[in-house]
Amino acid sequence: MTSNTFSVCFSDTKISAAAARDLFLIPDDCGGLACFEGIVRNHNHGKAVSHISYEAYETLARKECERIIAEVTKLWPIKKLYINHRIGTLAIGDTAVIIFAASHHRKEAFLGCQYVIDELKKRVPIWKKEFYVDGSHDWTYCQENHHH
Amino acid sequence: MTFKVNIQYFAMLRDAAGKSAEQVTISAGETASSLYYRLAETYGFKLPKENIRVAINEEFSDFNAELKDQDRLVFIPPVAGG
Repeated sequence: MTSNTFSVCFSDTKISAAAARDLFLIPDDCGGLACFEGIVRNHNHGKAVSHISYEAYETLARKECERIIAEVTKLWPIKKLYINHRIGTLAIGDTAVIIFAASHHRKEAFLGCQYVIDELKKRVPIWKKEFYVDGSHDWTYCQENHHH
Repeated sequence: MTFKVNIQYFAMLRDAAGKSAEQVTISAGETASSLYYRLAETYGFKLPKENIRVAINEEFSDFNAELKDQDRLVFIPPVAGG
């Protein structure tokens, strides 16, 4: 999706919400912009994380993001949306995902932004490998997806 | 009659299979489900079928879907984006 209005990107190099925000022109009729940044943290399930990596089944990940965008714009009047997800290796503190949602008013912008990240985490074929300070590594599961 | 399907492996399935893609011969009438069981036995996949989804030709599909010649399959382990 490369239209100006609804944009889905997978980036294999560092992403910056500030830089993305500079390029994200808010439509004149929008008064609210909600932004989410997912950031790599240094711990998970009690283990110290040294770095992570993401991989994606990109064709389907893009399609599923586009479906999420179609859903969120039916639920609320979101006028412009930007999703950018990293793939490749990330350091602690790196931005893993950026979501911008612009709407006339703040309520829909907040709700829309949250919907997109919540659904992305549950549905989009992206996988994360965590590398721990103790030298081990593991594929992680989103808690909501963990069926065991 | 035999067909060939193209499989892409990601994440822990790729680790277990030791490869990111392959072409596999299947018999007419074979489903994604029976193919997964076969591959799980060959490669020692630890994920039960209940914990994964299947995509056929770049769309989420059903494990009961009957496979066709040149179908492109991806078995999708629990996702962890965001």
